[in-house]
Amino acid sequence: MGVSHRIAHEKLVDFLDELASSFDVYVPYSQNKRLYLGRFDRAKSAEIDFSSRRSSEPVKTFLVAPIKKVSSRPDNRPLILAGVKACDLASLGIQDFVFGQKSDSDPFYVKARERLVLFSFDCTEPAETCFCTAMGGNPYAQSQYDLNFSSMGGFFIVEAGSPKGQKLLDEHARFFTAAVAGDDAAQKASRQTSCSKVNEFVSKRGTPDLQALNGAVARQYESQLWKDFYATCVECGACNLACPTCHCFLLFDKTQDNRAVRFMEWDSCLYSRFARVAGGGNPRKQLWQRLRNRLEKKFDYFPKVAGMVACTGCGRCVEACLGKIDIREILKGLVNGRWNNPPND
Amino acid sequence: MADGIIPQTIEFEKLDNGFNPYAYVPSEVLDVITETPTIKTLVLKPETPIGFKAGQFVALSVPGVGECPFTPSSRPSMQDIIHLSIMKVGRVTERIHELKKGDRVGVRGPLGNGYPLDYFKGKEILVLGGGCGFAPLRSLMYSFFDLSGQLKKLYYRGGCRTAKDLLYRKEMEEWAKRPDLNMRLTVDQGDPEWKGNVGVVTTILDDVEMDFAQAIAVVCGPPIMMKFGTMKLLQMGFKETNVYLSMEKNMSCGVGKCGHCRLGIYYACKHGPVFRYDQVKDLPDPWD
Repeated sequence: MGVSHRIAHEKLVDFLDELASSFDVYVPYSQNKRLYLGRFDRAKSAEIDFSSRRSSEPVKTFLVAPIKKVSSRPDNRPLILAGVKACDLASLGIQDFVFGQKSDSDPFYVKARERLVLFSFDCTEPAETCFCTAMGGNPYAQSQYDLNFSSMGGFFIVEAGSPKGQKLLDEHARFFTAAVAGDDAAQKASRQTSCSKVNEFVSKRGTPDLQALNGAVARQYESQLWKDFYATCVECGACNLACPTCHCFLLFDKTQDNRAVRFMEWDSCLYSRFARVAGGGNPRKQLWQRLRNRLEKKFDYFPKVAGMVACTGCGRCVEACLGKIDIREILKGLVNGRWNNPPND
Repeated sequence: MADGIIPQTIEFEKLDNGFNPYAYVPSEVLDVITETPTIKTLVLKPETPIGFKAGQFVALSVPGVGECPFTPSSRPSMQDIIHLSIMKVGRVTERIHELKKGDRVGVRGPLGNGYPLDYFKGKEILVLGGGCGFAPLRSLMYSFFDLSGQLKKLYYRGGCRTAKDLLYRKEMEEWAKRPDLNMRLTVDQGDPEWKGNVGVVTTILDDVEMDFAQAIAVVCGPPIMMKFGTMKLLQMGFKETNVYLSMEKNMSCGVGKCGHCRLGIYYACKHGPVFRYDQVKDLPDPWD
């Protein structure tokens, strides 16, 4: 639909304030150099950081809640997530594949997906842990958004990516002005700058790209490297929880007020009981086998069944890991067939 | 019950589109049959019938306690009643073993693929069972009996640890009289009372007369039994594409989403639990 409008920074806050009467609106707040999603609050608008980089929480939080009752009705109120980034939008491909396919969908996911309105923002200050460009992405959205905002300092260049987004633009036209000649070029230049930043992080670390990674997990499946990669893993599952594409969950039953209730809770393939069967059999007894399984799922299983890797280069797992395990180094190790990065004491 | 009563309010709210893959059908326990010291069979009547094909499984819930997957052992054509034969091995199955006639539980399903019965018609079939594997195979055998005359040959070879562990013994003795079935059983450890063969199940295959290159084998039992059973069948001349296995994996959601039962590019709950050997043989550790 192309670049069509501009909105000033303070008008954007007004726009969201107006939307907050009919939507749940969530935005990223800056806190200790990280971004955390929270409910839009006009009084805290100075702390909102729409653009710089991705939030700590992955977008899946709004689709498959960390823990939710599946013995009751899903929530229907529409929800705007303003400040979502391209790496999160890319993860929707995996989540949709797992939960949203028409023939075989999870009704809770479908409802949550329908209610979700996505306002994406180009990244202006990618984090050092970002490597989206190596995973076939970019630090700006090209699809999956309803409205996209490109920060130009005091104002944003706006484009609609869906009829839903276009309708919001039309209904709230008074906050926007028309784009002017040259906005296209300005957006392109700004995006180029962000791309260069991520590319620099990628090349400095030697993070391999998708072409180099093609088939790498299968080639190294029997390698001893796996044991080295994960020497410092403490099996906490933080990488799974932070990951926007990790989708595994557990159904569990509880009794509350003498009523049986069933919950669905995010699970971690690193936990020793993840694949254990009744009687104690376990296909992945060793921790390194479970970590190999995680990488296999992302870089072998999903390419085979869905035609895409289940990694968007968001770097959340790098940031979350207590053992300082860095997926970029593992990918490098898989491609090079050697491990050069024994963890620091 | 040791820690509190089973809540009886187990209805799930209906979703707008009426479909919730995680919801169970409230069901009544009509009877509990003690089969062996560790295995009981629940006879269940779901409020709405759960039709299943032999080899498909269901998830049984003790409301508020937990849910486990089991393959029914009853006749699939008997639509409104389901039998589940359950070994006591863990937290939920211990509670299941405490269930009494009249208790209410939840049944979710049917889940998974089941056996391709149409493909089996007109063929020679060898069924190889071990221990708990007798349960799913009982429902398969009933399907075969329902197909009477449409199979070229039917052999059943079953083995279990001791005669005490032998499921459905009386019924099996009846089956053995059928003219359309060639049946033999064995136990790993004999006792004075046991008159049959002693040895693992692969020791009672030598008298099977079939055109192995065309015949079908169905194997169901513990992983170690399936592994050696399959090796033996391949030696005998069965084709990899004609050996059907039941792969036991940890299943939670039962609808191919939760990630627990992945087996290479498959989910055991969705693409299985019945797999042909050629589908799983190239996995790094198919039997683990």
